[in-house]
Amino acid sequence: MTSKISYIKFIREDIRHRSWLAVFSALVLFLAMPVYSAIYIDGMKGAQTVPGNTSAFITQNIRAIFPGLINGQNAMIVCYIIFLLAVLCAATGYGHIHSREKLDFYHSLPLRRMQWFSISYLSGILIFLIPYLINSFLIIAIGNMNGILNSALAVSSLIAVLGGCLVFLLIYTTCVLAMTLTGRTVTALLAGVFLIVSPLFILTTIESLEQEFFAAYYAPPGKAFFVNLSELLSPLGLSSKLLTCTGTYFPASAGSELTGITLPELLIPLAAGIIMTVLFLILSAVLYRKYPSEAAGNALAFPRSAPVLKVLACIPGAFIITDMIHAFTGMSLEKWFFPLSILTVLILTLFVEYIYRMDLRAIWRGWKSTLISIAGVAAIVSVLQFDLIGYDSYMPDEDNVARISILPDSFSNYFIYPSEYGPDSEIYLGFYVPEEDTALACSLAETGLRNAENGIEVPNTWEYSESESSDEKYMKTLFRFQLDSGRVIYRQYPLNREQLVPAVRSLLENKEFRKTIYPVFQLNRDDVYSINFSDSYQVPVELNLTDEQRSQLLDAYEQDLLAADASTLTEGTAIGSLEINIYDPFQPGTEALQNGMTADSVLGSPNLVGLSGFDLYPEYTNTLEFLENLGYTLRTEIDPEDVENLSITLSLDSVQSAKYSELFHTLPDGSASFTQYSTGEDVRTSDPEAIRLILDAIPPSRTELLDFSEDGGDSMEIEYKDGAGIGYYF
Amino acid sequence: MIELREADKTFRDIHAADHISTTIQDGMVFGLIGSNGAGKSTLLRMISGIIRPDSGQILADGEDVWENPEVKSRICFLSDTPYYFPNADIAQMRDYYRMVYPTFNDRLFNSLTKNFSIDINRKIHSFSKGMKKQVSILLGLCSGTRYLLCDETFDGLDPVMRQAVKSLFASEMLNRDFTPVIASHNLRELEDICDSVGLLHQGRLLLSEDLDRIKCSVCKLQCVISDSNREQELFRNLNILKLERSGSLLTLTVRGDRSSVLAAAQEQNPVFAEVLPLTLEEVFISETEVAGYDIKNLLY
Repeated sequence: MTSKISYIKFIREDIRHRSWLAVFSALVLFLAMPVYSAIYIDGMKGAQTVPGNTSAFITQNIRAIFPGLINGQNAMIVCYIIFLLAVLCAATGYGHIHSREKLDFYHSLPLRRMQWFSISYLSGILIFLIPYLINSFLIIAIGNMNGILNSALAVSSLIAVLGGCLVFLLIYTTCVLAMTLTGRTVTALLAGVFLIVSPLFILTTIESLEQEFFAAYYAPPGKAFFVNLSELLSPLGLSSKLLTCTGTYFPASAGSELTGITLPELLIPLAAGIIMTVLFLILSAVLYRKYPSEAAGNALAFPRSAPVLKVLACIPGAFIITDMIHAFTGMSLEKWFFPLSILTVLILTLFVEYIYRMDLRAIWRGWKSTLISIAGVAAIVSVLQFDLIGYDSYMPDEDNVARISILPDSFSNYFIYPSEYGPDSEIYLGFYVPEEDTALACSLAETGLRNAENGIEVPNTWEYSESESSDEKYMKTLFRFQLDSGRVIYRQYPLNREQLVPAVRSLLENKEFRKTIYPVFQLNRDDVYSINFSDSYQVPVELNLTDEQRSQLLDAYEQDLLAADASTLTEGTAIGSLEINIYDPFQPGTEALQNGMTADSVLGSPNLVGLSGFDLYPEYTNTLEFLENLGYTLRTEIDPEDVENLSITLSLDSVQSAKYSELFHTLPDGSASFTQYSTGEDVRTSDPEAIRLILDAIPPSRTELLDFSEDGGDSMEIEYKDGAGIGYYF
Repeated sequence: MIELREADKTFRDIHAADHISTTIQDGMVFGLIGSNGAGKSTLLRMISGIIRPDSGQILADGEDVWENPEVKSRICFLSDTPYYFPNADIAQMRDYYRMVYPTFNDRLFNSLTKNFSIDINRKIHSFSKGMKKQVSILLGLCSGTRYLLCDETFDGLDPVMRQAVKSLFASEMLNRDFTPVIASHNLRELEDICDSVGLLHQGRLLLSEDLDRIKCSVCKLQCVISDSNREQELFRNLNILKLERSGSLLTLTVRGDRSSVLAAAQEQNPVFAEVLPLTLEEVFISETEVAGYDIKNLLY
């Protein structure tokens, strides 16, 4: 009998019994894929009428989004439909194990359980796959009809199809696993949501809690361990990653770098997706084989697993919810985190018991697992709140430190590097100090650790701190320790001006370190599109330079920078600055621009990145002379005669504290108008004397290398007579 | 032949089948009777391979039933609440059974549906409960399997239909190798059709024997004995399952054949003594009462 079974017949029958789903799948995929894509592409082509949008530009843009229309990366409706169909296929395919009548019927028939499992699994896949593949090829045909299809796009589209299929398989198999773990559809849905979503939430919550509880915690963007892990271990995170990396256009000519996705970045999620799907499939098959027939109608298929699952779900669940409440309310962690987590875990355990038993009177029955959950949460909160693992107090032994980098917070505002948008940009991590300065940097780190142990905290830029005194300001400084073992440890500590400035000055004495951190030395001069210059007026002027002059200017700047005294760089007052515009290396068309095509012919408008960190100091004589010879004279202060008008907006705090009342009293009578609002006060003047007095008192400031200043929420706008204008906070 | 060897099954804290051992002989109708929740459905589900026993073995024709499609193709299980595909008509269900059971007798099915005046193109969801049971029985009967397990299948059929189905079973047993196993509360129904009976109570098989032998092994003695010492002597000599007294009239349900029971009574010089055969229902009541089951909760 076994050998006589025709799987095709059974699969066909199974699909026939779920014909409504097959029809639904075909219909929604048709509407969301070829129909939506045709309308979307037509709409994008319509943008050709906008001035500056050339045909090549439009085609390039359509190609960039095209694979994402197939897998849902650029058409969220497709993404939602893939998820919905995965859930429906699993729920309808395995719904029979949640009903005693159906289960008796199917399992009494002369087929092995594994045969039933395979039949349901395959027919579920076919219900999605057949319409999905047909509609994917219809989209590709639409692309071809619109003249955008080339070989590279065809390959990218096939990768997108693969991505879409894999995401479906992953979610579908996870839902099948949820069905085999449970005995009721409601609990299956909850289990499905838990399996799909919870790993992502759990891992990102761990990251979030570390950040909130450990003052020294730092994770570089894109390198947060648990967040990265969540993209590989959670079906939701992995699906999102798969859609992103497979929904990308890989132009063959430009290589994968153009899209910002490398081959390993494509292959790793694909491999992770396949591995997770296979693991879940094996687990589901084993559970299906062992599925107790009496489980139909019960919350869980395997009652012995109930307390274990309850603990595993409730402990992380409590932290996820408490962390969310913290994020929404901004509650004090020290006061509220412990009681709120305990309350949350208690509510969750009772809720789970209710789901298990569907009887309010029986919610206390699983009191042992409830107690374990509460104890688990209490233990974890204690570890976090009292730093029982010694995270904040840990400092690597200097003898084990191979290299160390430092990155004061203000560096991130001061420098913009050519490679900043790259995935491993060191701007986020800090540059390693020369070997001979390792001890100095380690000593600085220890100073920072002592500051932290003394209770000094530096709030994040978005957090308001009342405790910090204005006299002694601290700056967060990131230290990256690379140990002899190769392990990299990140810690950030607060440092004040007296501690940080001498150390950085000392580091900058080393010309090699100076070459390392200043962007001018990392610049590929062929990438430079233009150079702007600004003086005390802070209005950028594009320098009209030949290639040779541009090179000479950069040579002069490099020479001056290397010759400058280190104290000038750390404490000097800049009198002007350069801004260097380079082609954005991650935008389509850059290669063509670099090859001599004009921006208009390729993109309509160039995609540029403006680099900063090119301050000009009075001792930069070579640079200043070069600019002067070209006719660009640097003005060291604003001539009030050049100002048409000036307006100041004061915050309510400044008004109430009469911070600038002395200044305003010195202004000539009637030279300024004062308008009061509920939120502050506006002061406006066009009188040259008043303008002079104000500018003397509040000159436009520049970002400094080690900038400890804080703006007080007041702002100034200056309108020059030539029509230009600037605005800044002070 | 279906053989149960120490088959045991526990659902959480309910011992649904307590080390059951019995044999269901080929070519005979086996009736499974028992109190509510005695484990009849569990036993049938174990025999049909839906449930795996925690311990023990269920063999059909000498082979283990669990996960054995070859053996299961000889067994058709008709649940007490038959399942049909959503929106299916009878023809679709027939086609499905034909696909599953290669021995399905298409001609017989079409002929029976015609005789029973059942429109095979009618949607099953529009049928009454009894009609659905009829369809279930016809599908099971025509599947051509050697063993047909009916879980309270007769309940819900009208008397004419019940009679018709009994005739069909008899006819099938004449024409081919066919062994129906019928679980029911309707003992009178089983009495008419069954060759042997298994009596379940609280997961335990109290007895499993040929119906005739059961009837011969238990009987009802009515007697009047004037001497109380002789009366006590009679009680000692008999294997009494149940004793009732109405005035001086004693009614005893006794294990043993009728002649020996009557002889034992005669030895005590009774004023009046008579031995009566028991119905299956009376056997059931007396046997389960011995096992501690309250008669008041039993009847239908």
